[in-house]
Amino acid sequence: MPHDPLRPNKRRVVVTGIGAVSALGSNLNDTWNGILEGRSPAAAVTHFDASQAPCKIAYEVTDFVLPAGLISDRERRFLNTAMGYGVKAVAEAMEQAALLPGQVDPERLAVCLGMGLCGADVDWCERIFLPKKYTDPSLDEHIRFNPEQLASVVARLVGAKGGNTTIHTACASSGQALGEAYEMIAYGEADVVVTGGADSMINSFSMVGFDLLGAMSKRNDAPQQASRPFDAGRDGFVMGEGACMLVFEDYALAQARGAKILAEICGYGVTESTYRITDLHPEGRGPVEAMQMALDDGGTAAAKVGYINAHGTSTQINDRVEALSIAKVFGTGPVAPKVSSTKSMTGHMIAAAGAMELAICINALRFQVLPPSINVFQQDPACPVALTNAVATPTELSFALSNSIGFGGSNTALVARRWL
Amino acid sequence: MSQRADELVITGVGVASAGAYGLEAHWELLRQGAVKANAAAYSMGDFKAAAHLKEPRLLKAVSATDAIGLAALADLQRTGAWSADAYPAPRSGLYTGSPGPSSFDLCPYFEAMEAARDGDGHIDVGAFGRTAMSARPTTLLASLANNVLCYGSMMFNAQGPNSNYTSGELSGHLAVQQAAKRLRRQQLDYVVAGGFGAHSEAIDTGMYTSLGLLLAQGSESTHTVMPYEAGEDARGGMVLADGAAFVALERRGAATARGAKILATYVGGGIASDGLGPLRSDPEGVAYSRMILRTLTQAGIEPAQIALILANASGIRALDRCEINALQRVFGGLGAAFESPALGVTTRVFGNLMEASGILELGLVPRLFAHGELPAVMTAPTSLGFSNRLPRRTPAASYALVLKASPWGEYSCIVLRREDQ
Repeated sequence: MPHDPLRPNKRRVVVTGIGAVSALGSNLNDTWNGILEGRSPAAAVTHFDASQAPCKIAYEVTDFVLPAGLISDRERRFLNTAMGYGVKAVAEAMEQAALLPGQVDPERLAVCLGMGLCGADVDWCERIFLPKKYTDPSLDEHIRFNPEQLASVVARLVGAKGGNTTIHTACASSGQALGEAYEMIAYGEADVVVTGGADSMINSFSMVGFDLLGAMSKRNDAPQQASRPFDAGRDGFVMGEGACMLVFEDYALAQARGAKILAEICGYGVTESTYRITDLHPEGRGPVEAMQMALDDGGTAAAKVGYINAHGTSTQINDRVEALSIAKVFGTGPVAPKVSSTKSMTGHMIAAAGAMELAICINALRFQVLPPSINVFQQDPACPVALTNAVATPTELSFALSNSIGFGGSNTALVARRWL
Repeated sequence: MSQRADELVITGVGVASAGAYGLEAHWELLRQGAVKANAAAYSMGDFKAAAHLKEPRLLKAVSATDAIGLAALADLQRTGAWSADAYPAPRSGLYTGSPGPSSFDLCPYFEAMEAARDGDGHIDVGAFGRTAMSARPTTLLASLANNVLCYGSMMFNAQGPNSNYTSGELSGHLAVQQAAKRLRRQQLDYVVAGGFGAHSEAIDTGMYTSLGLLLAQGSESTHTVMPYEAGEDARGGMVLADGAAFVALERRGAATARGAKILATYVGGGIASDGLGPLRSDPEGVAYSRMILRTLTQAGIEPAQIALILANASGIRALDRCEINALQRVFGGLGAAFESPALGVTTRVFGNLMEASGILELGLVPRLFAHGELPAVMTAPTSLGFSNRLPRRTPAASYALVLKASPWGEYSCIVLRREDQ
């Protein structure tokens, strides 16, 4: 049955591979186990000297090693730290998908990624920018700050000739990339899309930039408890980094080649709040419509959604408005879905957040367990959602939804269905 | 030619580049053959965006690059008969193609970096965490790559589906193609799409020079970018240009009902890559040509129906060779019965508009169909087998093919149909 019975003009889209790099671990399994344990690896920043910055803590990827042989030395010169995470995550996802040469037409295999700003660092500024060495031959290295480099390397890595797309809509970047990848397959433009996101803003320019906006937590003395989405005492987000990559595939192809299907993607919504660059509209204009659009897209009744992985940044405004938005769409009664924000365990992975959080939704569906809500000491009464328990909890789940909300007003929602 | 109410049409064009604002001004530059000889890059450093915006206060929060994009959107709003009540906000969308952040966005931190130098003159990163707190609070926001998407959506009251592509030179084309898909799927009724960028600054010109992609500047030279040229006098390389270009798309039936002027029909688009990795493209143009053929097939038209090709023609030798080989694969075997399509280039006048390239060309298609021949400055060498005149007007030759290619081996094409007058 290649087409969705509820949407006969669309093909069914399934997930056959996931790879992840996060502060919880450099693969999906370690990351997921960390989530189940309710572990927060946040600690003092080591990537740079943050000792005098207002926020001195982050969820850093540690002991990361890019496996040998994946990319050439030449390609490595085109990639920054986050892109290295991305390459590793793609390799893991492709290994799980077990897509063999010849099983998909390369022209029907595409790449669609959400990428961060990938900006320059202080070291580069000191060596090149401040002394105005604009004719320095090493300026070719600056290309690694261009976001589209990863898609190019990934296309070479997986043999994709169906086109490369890179998206930046701030924190909604990879949510949007996943949504567009889903639609490419659903509407017959591609059979397989390698999609996801990668980002690292744990650098001095980015951290002070968010500090100046007042968006980051100042709980430097308690890093593991600093990111506390929906808690009354939340005071900002804590930066994370990493990558998450997924293999989206036409169901008919996955079935024909005997692939192990992890979940089905069955709805995508995307809207613009048209309010302010950083703030959410107080009544949730944007996120509300995105969630409703995602439900309508797949013909999913709101009551069937058992778990929502919220954007839940741990900032005052985001959590309050997002919770109100969820309540508007799903209600607040006993049948309302359970909600958590796993940013308390991964940190805010910015452009990679949407992909990571959909992957967590998929694992929640696969293993029938609700991820925990950690660091909620007293739920904010202004956030009227039913949070998951403080520990991972077995449950029966059929559908899960992941929200992403970005600076600039882009909102995305993705719905995943359990695969039986 | 039959016209369907649900086909997609272009009803507005907004464009800004070095030395010209608005489509008409760009067309005039082409007609006059206004080549900028020996320019290192076509900069809009002196561009006054505020003069074009209804709400110049928007510019306080964005970069100079964003300002160019917003000014082009304002041009489209002015010339494209946009009105706030034409479509519901949730049925309107904006799709943008943008560059990543410029290192010059970091300039507000310069003072803080200097203040953080230690006794040896090195910047103390730890101290910078403190000194930077004196910088403008919104410094980070100006570097966001989706600022034009944000503020442009406010300008057009566009609350529906949207996206922002940072895919280098293909970004604007991707935005238009994705916007068209949304319209086709009935997910939007009105959408503005295009791209903007400003790469003429010192770091990007230095970077592209180091990568071997820029036209080498000789003081004695009177030539500008020379796409497809061969021989001793020819030099390879592109000229970077600042600019922005957007088009408005909607369905014909609705556009007609609201009295909008229809400029052209959007027929289809396609993308592909060689999959060879960064800065590598297939000189034979196999994936490029297959993308063109696939796009034409999906649109139900034959190569012989293409009357006009607006090529990428960046001037980068390897990429131009790839493009010509791709075009020969598509059009080379059509036989004597068919008139060759015209092959036009805009890069001699406008340089490589990067994220905006390939969008200005969409706006030029109606002008060129009406004009019947390419302005001299747009012609390609006839030895390539293409014409400088558009085939005589027939229903069978009413289509234009607009191409975009990047040195990363990534390709895009968009097919338009001329509007019957």
